[in-house]
Amino acid sequence: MIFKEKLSIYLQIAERISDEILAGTYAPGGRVPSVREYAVMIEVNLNTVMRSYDTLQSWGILDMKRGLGYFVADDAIQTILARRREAFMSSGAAEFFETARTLGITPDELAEMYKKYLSD
Amino acid sequence: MIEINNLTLGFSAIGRMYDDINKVFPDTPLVFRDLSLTIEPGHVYGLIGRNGAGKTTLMNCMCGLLGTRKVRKTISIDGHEVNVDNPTITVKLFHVPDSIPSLHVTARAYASTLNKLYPNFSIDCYYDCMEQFQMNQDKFFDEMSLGQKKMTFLSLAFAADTPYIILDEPTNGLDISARRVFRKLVASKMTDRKAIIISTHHINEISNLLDHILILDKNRIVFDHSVAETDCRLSFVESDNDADLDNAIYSMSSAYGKRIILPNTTGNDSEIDYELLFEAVLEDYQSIENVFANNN
Repeated sequence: MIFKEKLSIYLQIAERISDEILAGTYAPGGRVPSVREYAVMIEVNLNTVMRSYDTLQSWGILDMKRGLGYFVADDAIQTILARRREAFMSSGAAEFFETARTLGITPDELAEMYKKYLSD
Repeated sequence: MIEINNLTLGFSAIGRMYDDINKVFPDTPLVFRDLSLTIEPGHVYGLIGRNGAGKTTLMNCMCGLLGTRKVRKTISIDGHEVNVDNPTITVKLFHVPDSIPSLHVTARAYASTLNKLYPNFSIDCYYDCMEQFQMNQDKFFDEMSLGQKKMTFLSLAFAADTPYIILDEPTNGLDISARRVFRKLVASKMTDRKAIIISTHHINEISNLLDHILILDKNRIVFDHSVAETDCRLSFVESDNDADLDNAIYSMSSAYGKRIILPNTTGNDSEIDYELLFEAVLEDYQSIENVFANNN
């Protein structure tokens, strides 16, 4: 049985800001919009966005400077990639391997496919 | 803080209000029976319920527009008994009703009157909101459509800057872009000194604006929890198989298989499926409440 589960809104926003950091919208060491600016931009409750920022802070992706606002941590990109890699290994990859097994794809075939994918 | 303590209200067959359960026949229908509720500043509340559950009646009672002397005594605003005739109370809240009277007054003239009544009224904020809604200031209320009256009143509500804003079906009559403006206004005007209460039948449209969910059913508030608390306690998943799960609290068939509510035991917070939560609470609010009562 397969379960689908969407992330809670505050986590969706945390992932969205992480994507924006990876894409260079907000650079390491740079300031991110205030909680209110971000809430208005995406039409979401202020307290919900506050939870997203708190979460990003607890993950070490944002730093709060009292009176100045929130800034992207210097090593935010590495932190985001490490988190994503961990998440991929524990869920995304597991699902992928399950499909490969069901379809009878051998490890050698998989390795070959991946090499071909990277060279394209 | 708005506090409601054991509100009981019904209407007899001839429309007479009654507020005492012991003074009526046992089978006379009630709107509210011992309803209690606390509204705290700093939050946006979503009030949902079936048609005829009493959402509008509850909002009217909160504003002091409806109810007997005894009903008013059960409702207090910042420690004062609710009363439409008491100006210190009326300036604490702004009510946008679902049906707005068609007065022969222009939006501009109405705003300048309210500007004198509400101590924190900001005429600049009012003009800004009206501009965002692309509303004409010189239109008379009796020439406006339902949506235009709504947009004018919503602008007045945000400009009045009262600690309590009560919005009865605020998106009724609004077109798609006006709904977006409305959502932006709620997100931008929210402060920790203000409570906004929104009733709606279209919960998915405004669900991201809320941080607290209220469900009205069976004459009382049967669900009263913050979004954060709901995230922690309940998981909303969809399964590709329509077999029943042992620990499912509620489930509903879907195109994919089944939409299920489970206790959140993993700590992975999932997006709230408001439709599913609503149906689950209407069917059996006690089993949902038990999950919240468990201390683990």
